[in-house]
Amino acid sequence: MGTWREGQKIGDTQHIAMPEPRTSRFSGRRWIIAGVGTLVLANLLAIGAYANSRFAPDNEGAPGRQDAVPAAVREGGPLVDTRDGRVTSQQVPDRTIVLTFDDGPDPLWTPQVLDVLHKHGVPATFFVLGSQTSRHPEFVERMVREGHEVGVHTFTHPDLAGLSGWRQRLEISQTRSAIAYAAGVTTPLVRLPYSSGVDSLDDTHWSVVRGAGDQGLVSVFDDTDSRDWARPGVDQIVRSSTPEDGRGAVVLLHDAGGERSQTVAALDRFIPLMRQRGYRFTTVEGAFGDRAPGLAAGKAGRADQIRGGLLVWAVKVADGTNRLLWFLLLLVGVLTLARTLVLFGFALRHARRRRARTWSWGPEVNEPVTVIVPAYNERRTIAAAVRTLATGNHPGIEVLVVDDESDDGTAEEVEALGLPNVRVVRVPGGGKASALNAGVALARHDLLVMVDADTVVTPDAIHKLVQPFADPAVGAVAGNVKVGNRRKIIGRWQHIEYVIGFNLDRRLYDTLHCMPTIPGALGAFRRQAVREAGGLSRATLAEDTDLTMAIHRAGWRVVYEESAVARTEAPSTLGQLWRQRYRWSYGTMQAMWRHRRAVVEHGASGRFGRRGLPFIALFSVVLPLLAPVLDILAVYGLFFLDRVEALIAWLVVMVIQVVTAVLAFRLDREPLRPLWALPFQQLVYRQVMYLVLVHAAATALTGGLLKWQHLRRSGEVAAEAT
Amino acid sequence: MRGRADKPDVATRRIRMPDATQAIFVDRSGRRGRRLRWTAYALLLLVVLLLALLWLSQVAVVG
Repeated sequence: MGTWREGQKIGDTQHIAMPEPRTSRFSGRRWIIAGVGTLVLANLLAIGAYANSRFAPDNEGAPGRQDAVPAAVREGGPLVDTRDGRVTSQQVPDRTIVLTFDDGPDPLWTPQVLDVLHKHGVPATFFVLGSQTSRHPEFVERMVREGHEVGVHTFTHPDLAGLSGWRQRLEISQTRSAIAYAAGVTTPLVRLPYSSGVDSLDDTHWSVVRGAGDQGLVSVFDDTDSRDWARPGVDQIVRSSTPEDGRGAVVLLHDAGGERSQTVAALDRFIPLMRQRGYRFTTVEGAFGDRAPGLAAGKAGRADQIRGGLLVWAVKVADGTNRLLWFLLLLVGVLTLARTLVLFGFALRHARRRRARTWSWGPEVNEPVTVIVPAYNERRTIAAAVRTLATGNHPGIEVLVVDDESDDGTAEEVEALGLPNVRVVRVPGGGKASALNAGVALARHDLLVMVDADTVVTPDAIHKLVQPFADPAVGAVAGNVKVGNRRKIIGRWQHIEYVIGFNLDRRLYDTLHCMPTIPGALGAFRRQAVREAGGLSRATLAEDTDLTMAIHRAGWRVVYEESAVARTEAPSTLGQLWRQRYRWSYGTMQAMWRHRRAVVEHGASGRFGRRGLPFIALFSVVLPLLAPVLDILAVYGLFFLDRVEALIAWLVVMVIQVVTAVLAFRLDREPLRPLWALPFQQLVYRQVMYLVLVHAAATALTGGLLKWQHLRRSGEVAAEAT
Repeated sequence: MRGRADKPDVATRRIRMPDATQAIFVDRSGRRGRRLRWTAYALLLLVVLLLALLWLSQVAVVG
């Protein structure tokens, strides 16, 4: 790409008319906003991960030492009250059943359970999870409305004995808040996860029971365990739930945590069966209230409801964010895979066709060519560039250097070469587009080649580049541009990107007739095509992309000639690269916007608008903008999911990229050695690239000014050519 | 007596041509940017406040 306007001068006309843009106060704040945004996202992901803790709804493992558990509790009933320092245990009265359901609410099974209970007019006690209550508060509200009792079953179903005191308190208090928000009640009942009968209560869990008592909660265990979580069949659930010899029982069932159709069916059979046997059904409060006061639910306070509301909505938003990210990941995955497969198919076909002995554009093109080299302060590189161009093996090359008011002696440097077929014209400073337009007007020949002043071409490049003009429908040809300065890692990364991202893509675009850009570094045009396209516009910062799209719309074919090779000097620091890509991304968006009407037009313009533009928008803007999802979820996976799975997923993406890279390098006949830098490219380069795109999109949205940036040349490519 | 100026010559007034080089996306007044920026600030502030409230309400109960 050309380099224009540095220091006091800025690139395009609209900029010149403007006062010198001040460094916005916003530029510093941008990073603060990005930081705060990242913090918010990290918070939401952490909340989502917390609320999505996985658990198994069964009780595994034998109890530990039971020395500290009072015998009266161990051998007593399922209600253990340790509030206010007392320790009491209560049995369920005979011929009384307290149905208890754990792990809910569940959007599928809880309503079915509630329907069965409603059908039989039976109350029950639901020990709900805070996380599930946050997701489905409406079912908890229905439970209370229909006369059922609600108790705490913690927020995420951990084994509380393994947690520190503050985490235990948090699990309980959060669930109480969520219930307060959902149903407007406070509950004094708790069932500890993984608890069953009091006989299996060991020392560590006893301390949890005492802790719950300190928070004003009464622990509820069970007498009969339906073991419905194991789905043993309806008969077995009914048998396991039934107490012996007319004794009363707290029955443990589950309305969530898996497929619960057996539980629902068993309940529908169990209730009438037990009624036939003279049993009554009640809640915990109904069974024990006369002996243990303070078991009834109270009205929740405003503060608790607000706290619950914050929590419930935090979980909802976090879940939504999580779902959105996974959906986007799926979208990115499908698009990337589709693109890779299409790329493989088309690129291979393209290469095979071009390499065939029978392939030809038509009769050899030997018409004279004007090579236009726009230059602004390019003294270090211009001589090498012009010499390689002027001594090319195409018959009748005219090199036209358009000097855009350089003040470093660029024009004199060219004149000093003393080459007969080189002309220098000096134009008033107006930017690259103006210089190129001047070049087009002053060119002696109808075939034009535009080359950047920092680009060195192979001797046969110009000849090969113009061969597609044997086909009268071809209006422009893209050359094969490679990175010349590959000594530094950043140059190597760009080399990989050029070979994969640009050259492989170009084969695809060529096949689909929607080439978005003739690179400014090396491209050939028919003068008529440039004229019909309206010349080079100063409206965008990517005048090459803009011109290419206009040529498409004028009905010309735009093709890729991979054998015309040029080496260009790529940015050698991250800052320069950032600025260059910022301009490219912004310019591409501008060009697409400028040509948006092509979508509804007829003829060639409409064909490009409906076929090419969406394709370019999808793969050069939307997909790269969504790419951060990959990294966000990779980091999320490392922290909150199975690390091995996350690593494998990341490696799969890596392998796809390596395979694509190898294919691209093979097709371009490039040695594979630089590919060792590919894994590292995934860790820095890719992120920088999408940050640039986000930056450019933000500038486009806010309508901010973006000025041309001058790339500081090292002259490395030029030095190698001389 | 007050003097009277001739009416301006409309026929020779400069024609305003559409600016072909009008930069795309650029809002010279800066109004769009300001609006978007302040909306973003307000939204972020709201979210941060709500998050802070959430965390504080959790810490208050546990602590």
